[in-house]
Amino acid sequence: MPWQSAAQPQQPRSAATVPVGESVRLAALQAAWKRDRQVSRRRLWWRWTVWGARRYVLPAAAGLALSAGLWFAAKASMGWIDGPTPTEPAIATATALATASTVPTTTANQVVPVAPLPSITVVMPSGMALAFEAGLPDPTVRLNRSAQTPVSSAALSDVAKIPNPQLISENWLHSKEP
Amino acid sequence: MSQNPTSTRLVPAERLSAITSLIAEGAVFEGNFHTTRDQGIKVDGLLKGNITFETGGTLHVGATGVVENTRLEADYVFIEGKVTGTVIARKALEITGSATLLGDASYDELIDMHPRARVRGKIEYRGDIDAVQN
Repeated sequence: MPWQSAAQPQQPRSAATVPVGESVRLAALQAAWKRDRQVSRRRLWWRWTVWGARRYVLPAAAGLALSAGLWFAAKASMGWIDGPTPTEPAIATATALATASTVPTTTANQVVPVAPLPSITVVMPSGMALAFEAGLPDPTVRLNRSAQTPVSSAALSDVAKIPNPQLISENWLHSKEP
Repeated sequence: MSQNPTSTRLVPAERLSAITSLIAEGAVFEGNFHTTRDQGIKVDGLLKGNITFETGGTLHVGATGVVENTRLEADYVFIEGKVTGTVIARKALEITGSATLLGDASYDELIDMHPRARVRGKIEYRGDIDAVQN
């Protein structure tokens, strides 16, 4: 019968399964030591990390941030952020062009290939324009006066071609005073 | 498998192995612990009360142990956790780098304190200052 087979008499628990007090104490102590090691190691590592961060990492980061800020400020004040100054590279490229054209491209029985030079584009930043000041004399007069050495007629003709610009007073705000 | 207790510098390992009483982690004990025998107690939980060993005695505050508003007196005191109160070590006092002691501590013979230990209180040597030194 199924109910008879299920009614098995239980085995009495032997005394050997009950842990001895000493083994319990040792097991508890060992578990506590293991936990102590983990917790103390983690806490000590954290304390050293915080100390090192406060002592070394934070000043270093502050110094880096300060130097980076100063560098960017200097860069912005010198106008390097929007790109290089338009006149200087143009002059440099023109000089490079001139030297490249004068340097012979062939040596003895050897032809040096010349790479194609990039096109020169001078871009003036917006809001900037060249203007002559009102007090300056006529550039042609100044050139003629300082011409101690003989000037070729072609150069003089180039100077003569410069139109006389319309001089606009830059200090017109001061003229409103009575 | 037997494990060694936490590495110590002053408190002998056999003293830590001879701990007889344990307040486990997560347990809260409120009251005083007092004995005249040379026994030991390890606190891994929270203890609110005094611990006094009249003779001998080893007190080990584990890394997870917290002892509040208390007066601890034993021959060997080994602190890894947080103690708020007065500590009296008749022989050796050892404060590890994970320990926090808020209160005064006094010792008669030896002291060892980790540089990363957090102590806010007075440390007093109770021995004879004018004794002949070697």
